[in-house]
Amino acid sequence: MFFLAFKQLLARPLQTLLALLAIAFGAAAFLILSGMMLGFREVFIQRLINTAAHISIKAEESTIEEHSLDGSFFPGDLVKWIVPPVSHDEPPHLEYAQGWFDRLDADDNVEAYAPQMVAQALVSRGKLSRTISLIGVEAAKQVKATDVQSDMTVGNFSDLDKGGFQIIIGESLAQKLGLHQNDTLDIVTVKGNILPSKVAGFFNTGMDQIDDVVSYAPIHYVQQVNQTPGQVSQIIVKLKDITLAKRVADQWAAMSREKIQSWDEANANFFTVFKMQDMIRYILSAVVLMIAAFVIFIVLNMIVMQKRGEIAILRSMGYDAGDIIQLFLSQGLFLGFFGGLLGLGLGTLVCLYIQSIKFTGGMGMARGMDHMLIAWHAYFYITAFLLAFLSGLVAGFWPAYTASRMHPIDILRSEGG
Amino acid sequence: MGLVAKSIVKSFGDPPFVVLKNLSFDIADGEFVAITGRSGSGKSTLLYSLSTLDPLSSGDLLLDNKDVGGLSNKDLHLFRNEKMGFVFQFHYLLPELTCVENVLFPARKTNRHEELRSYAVQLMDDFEIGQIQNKLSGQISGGERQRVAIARAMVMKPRYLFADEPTGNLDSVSGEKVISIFEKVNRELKTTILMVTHEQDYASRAGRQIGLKDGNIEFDRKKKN
Repeated sequence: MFFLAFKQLLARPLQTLLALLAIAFGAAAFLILSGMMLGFREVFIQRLINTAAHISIKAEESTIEEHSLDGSFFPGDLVKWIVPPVSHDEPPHLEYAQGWFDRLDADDNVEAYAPQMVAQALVSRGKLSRTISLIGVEAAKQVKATDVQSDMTVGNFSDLDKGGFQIIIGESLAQKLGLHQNDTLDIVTVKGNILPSKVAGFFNTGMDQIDDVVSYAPIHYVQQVNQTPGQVSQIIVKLKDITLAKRVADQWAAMSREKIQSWDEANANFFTVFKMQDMIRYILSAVVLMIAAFVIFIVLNMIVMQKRGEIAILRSMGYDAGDIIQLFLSQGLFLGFFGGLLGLGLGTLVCLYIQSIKFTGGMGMARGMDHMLIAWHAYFYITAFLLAFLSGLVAGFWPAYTASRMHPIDILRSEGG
Repeated sequence: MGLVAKSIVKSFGDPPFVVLKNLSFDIADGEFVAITGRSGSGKSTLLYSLSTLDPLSSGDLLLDNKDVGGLSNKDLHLFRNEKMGFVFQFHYLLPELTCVENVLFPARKTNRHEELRSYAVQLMDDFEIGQIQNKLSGQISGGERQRVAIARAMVMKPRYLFADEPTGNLDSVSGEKVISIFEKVNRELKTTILMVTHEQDYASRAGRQIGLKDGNIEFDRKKKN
């Protein structure tokens, strides 16, 4: 039967080619969409992880509420405040940072960690000024726990440890303020103190919301600026295996008062977007493949209708219903199989081409993003191929089944015998 | 005995419309039988019932001493493949295949097409169509097509050949060739032939004629030699 199925396909080169192309476009569309969407996403997530740390340990902001202080001032009494106490008791910081350091040192999952003190401040130079988030770091630890060194475009991150009030700022901020390396700029603290500091280098993460706002300085200076000597507001942790982030974070959270977030929890909103992207990707591919399956269905249905007489003679020769199903179903499978293969080839070529497209300047793209990004995964290929093959199977089944149910006698009578 | 029909009845629909009314007859091995009658007399229905394509409503049918009503679906198809050949009014050649591939197609069912190839070519030579064996059916004449169809019916060396108006679509020269091939096959290969026809000239060439009228046997006569 495969022999005849093959001959029947060859006898209609145009229809066969059309059906093959339809399937191929479907498979290729899936491959290209997946490659582009996930290519971008992977780089995006990589950057997210590198800048956001695998796990962050932050102080829980404790606020004072109406009855928070009752016990301290009037133990045992029922209190009615005329003016209830309100506010934070002190700037958020980790109660016992050294305890965390000891714990992290002992934990096998931890690759490196870096304590940070975050303070709000202004940078000003001449008449220009900007608010920044000043992150106090121990440069040696920060370099181990994050990818910050690879984002450096000018200078070395570890220069921060060389002493003196040095600062590393984003390249885009430097441009806006007109700064060069080793220039001096003023940091104005929230309390109004002005501290001159030297620009040790620039970094560029590719994300404006970071490059414009975040600056790094040695931690003891930031503690000074903030008038919170010795305090740590958060610890950035790098794990040996990032996939454990959520589990380890949950474990730690269970035995501490601090707010512990894994990188994916911290960026949950992105993952919602990713889910929607995935849905769009699958829906689009499904639509294309449905059209392809429809083409196969129409082609095969037409063949079955044209070949009623031949079906009758095949039955009279002793070919049974199963043979007839095989005859037409194998054509659908053949179209699905080779259409799928063709689509994989086509998709690969288009992906290779897309990958070679260069962005030309002014698009605000960061390092490593100067061309379109394509993800290459075996499972894209397997999924694309299976989808194509399945659509051939589904589209071929109904015509084949109809043909097998045709009774030779009914055909012979209706053909005017 | 080649073919035994015992009180066979064939009806259609509900309420049943009886087309074949309790027919009984025997056909010996190697007979050439023409089934005649007006249109609507039930002659085609009789042929399809005797050839197992159309199941009986009641009665028994023995082919080659086997009760074909008791065969499983698979065995019935195999029986048809090996023991029966069919020729219809229309040739029903597969247009994608060459003539010799068409002739050999029944043999593909049991994967014997290579083994029977030389026999197929010999058959085609016998039927004077050897020169067109590698042509497609669209490239040959109507008479040639019908002879290819007969070669296809004969390639498995069947015991029975069932023909439904085999000359109905042909000019008289081609029709004459078809009938003489039937005579030759019947004579040389001892194939039992059942042929439905309404052309009296051709019917009289058969060794035996069974005439049907309104689902009953009107006459059943053998040619006197």
